[in-house]
Amino acid sequence: MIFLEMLNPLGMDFTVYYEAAHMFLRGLDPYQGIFSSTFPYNYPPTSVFFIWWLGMLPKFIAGPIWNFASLASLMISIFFLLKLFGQKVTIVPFLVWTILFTLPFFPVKFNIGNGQINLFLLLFAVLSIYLYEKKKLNLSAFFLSFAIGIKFAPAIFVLYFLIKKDYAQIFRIGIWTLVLFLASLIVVPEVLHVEYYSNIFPLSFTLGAKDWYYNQSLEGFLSRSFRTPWIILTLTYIFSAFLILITWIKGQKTDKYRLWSAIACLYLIVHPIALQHYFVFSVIPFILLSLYFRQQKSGILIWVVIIFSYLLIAKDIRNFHLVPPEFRFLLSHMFFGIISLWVLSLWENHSGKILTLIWVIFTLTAYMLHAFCKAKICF
Amino acid sequence: MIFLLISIVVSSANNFFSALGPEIGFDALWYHLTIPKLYLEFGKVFHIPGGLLYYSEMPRWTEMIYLTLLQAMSDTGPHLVNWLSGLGIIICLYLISRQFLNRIYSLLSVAMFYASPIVSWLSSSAYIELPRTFWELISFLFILKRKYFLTALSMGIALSIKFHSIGSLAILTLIAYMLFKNPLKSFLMALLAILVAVPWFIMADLNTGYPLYPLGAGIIDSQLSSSPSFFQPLSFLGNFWKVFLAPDDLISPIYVTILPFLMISIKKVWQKFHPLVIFFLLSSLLWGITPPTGGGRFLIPYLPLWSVLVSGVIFVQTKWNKYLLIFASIVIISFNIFYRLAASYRLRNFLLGNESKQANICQRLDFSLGTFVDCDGFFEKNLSSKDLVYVSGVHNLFYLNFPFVHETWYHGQPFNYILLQNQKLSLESLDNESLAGDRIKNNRWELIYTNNKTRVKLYKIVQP
Repeated sequence: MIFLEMLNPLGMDFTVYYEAAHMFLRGLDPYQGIFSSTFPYNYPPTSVFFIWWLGMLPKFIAGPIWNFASLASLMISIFFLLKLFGQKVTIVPFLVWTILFTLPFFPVKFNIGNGQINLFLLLFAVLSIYLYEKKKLNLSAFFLSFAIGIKFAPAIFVLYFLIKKDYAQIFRIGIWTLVLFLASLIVVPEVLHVEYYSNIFPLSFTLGAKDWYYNQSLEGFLSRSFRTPWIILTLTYIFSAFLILITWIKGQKTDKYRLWSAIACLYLIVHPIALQHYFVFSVIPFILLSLYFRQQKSGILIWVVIIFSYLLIAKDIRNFHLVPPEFRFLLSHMFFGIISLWVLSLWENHSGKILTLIWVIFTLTAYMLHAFCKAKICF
Repeated sequence: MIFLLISIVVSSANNFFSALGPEIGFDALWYHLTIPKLYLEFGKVFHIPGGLLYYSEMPRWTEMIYLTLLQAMSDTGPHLVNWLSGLGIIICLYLISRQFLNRIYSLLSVAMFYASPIVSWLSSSAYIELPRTFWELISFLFILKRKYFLTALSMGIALSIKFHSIGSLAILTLIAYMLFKNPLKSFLMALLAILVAVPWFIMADLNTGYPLYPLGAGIIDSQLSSSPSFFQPLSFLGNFWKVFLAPDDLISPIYVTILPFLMISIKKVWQKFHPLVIFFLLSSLLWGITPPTGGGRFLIPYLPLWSVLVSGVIFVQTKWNKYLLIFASIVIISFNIFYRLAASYRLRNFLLGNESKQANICQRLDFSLGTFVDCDGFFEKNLSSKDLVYVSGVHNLFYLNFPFVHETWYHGQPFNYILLQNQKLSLESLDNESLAGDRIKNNRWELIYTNNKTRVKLYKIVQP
């Protein structure tokens, strides 16, 4: 049980942040490899504003602080998501949600077990959402920019403001991002910026390791379904653009909580490599959609989809290498879960129609691809 | 409706032309055609001993039909039997479907089933699944009309084709009882069906001392022990998924696609189609406990009624789901037809007379599986009716057109040639192992022919 080991530094990923922080503070280059590995640090230079404090502490102190702060970030995120609905947050529902997203929930356990950063990103994203809805616009922009500074992917949340035509907020986010970037130029040598943007950042757009089981994004699903690289990349771009476009179109007339949920789902779907610990972000749609549909007194289908999505996302397949080739689609269970939540966010009571459409397309495509491969035309 | 009619006609025409092509199916070349061919050559129906043609004691009603056609029409005759069986099935299927649904949905059931690649393949092969399916289906039609006697006769013939029909008989008896609540008539019907098939089991008992030979006789028991196991639900669901979406023999994905819709609308489906729902559940159970040695073929007898159920599920859906599923069905039917048309295209040179049967077979067969074909005509030119070839390592004997004795039933005949294939490619490997060892050791043999493509060697006795 990973939660019982939080007093120790956990996971190789924490070591990466820890050593990168040390290297930044000493003016060394973590993009050529960290102390204990030749694998480079793969976060932008602006992330130094979040990890710098690790470089001031010995590992045996920094590690537990990181772990407990990570868990605290989850709990604070849950608290603010519950508070978003304007109701008083009582202890029982808060504990129920916390338990649901800790003990049986693999993405959180994986995140803490690896010493990952995603629970902090979740906190910054949730704070940004909460503060925006409470009209604290500058602070909201700051937190989102801060998250973008750690990892670019949270920039997808800007889509919300585009859909709502809140260009002023986009401007604020742009300014804060620029401020962070300029500040990072002061504390991190320019050569490291050049190195990151020319050598490290482009790696996100190659197919390396994308078919890894842990990658539960759209690209991960397509990498496991097809064999031809150009088909995988082309379909990834086409489907990503399609999903963003649909979110844009449907989002014009969607309730704000459902739209936030849809965009949080998009963050995981269109991310080039959304590892399982990224799926802590699914806390946003799970809580917002549950509270919204409870308020609407929605029908049983909604709850079946939510529960089924939770099961698909909460679980992991231990011996995934033993899954036979014809059942490789099972390795994308988290992807199916988050897609279901995305559909639910945008189509509400009509979700059934879209999910049945997806099911029909999926079964027909699986059959036809297999038939073509039997005729020696494998994609 | 026009699309459905056209798809059925196109499938039928495609299957007919494919039926004119030569046989390359493994089981057909192994025993469905070889057994009646041996009967013809020896002029009698007899027990074939040994570990190769052990199915020669199982019910073989269809093989007897093949026997009457082989002489005049070679393998084309049996192919046409299957093609006609396919047509018989779709007629019965339409009539059964009309008991539950209107014309369009009935045609949808027919097109869905008949356009499946596996049905198309079997319609132009010399297997026995389609004749069996025809008789099982017609018995279902009879029971819907309460014709117990005709049902019994039909099921008896199905049982005489393949022993697996005993499961279908059990299901049919149960459905008959549930529909008409007449236990005596249902029981007598089942009994009569078994009596119709009994002569085959009596023959097996007279020849081997065991009526169900080779089942449980220690010959194929290791194959039968690998059951897909209905009792492991995940394994059963996995096999069900695989047989329709990632199969060795392509069927159609619609039987998996429809499942969530069936579950969601089970109340409405049960009201109108409960005999079909019961059939689906029981036949799935039956398939789940049948050893998976036949792949998707073992589902063929159940697919016609499953197709009616699929149409029924589509029928009761709401507008969106209905149109979605109809569209999906049209896409699948079209894809399957084009798939089989592309497969049949390989026969064009043979059908147009630009290619000999031999050349066509030799291009398409996988000789590593133990099928013999005289690809270059050597055996035809060099062997006469006075010669006798001892055959070892060959599994599928249909294309042996010279006097031969197989190693599994050799009992001392004086052979003057030895034919080896695949792993048995040396005389030394035969000397000690085979019953013919003495004859091989006491004579000199000269290697006179080798063919790397067909993986054979032929030795001739050296006369002193």
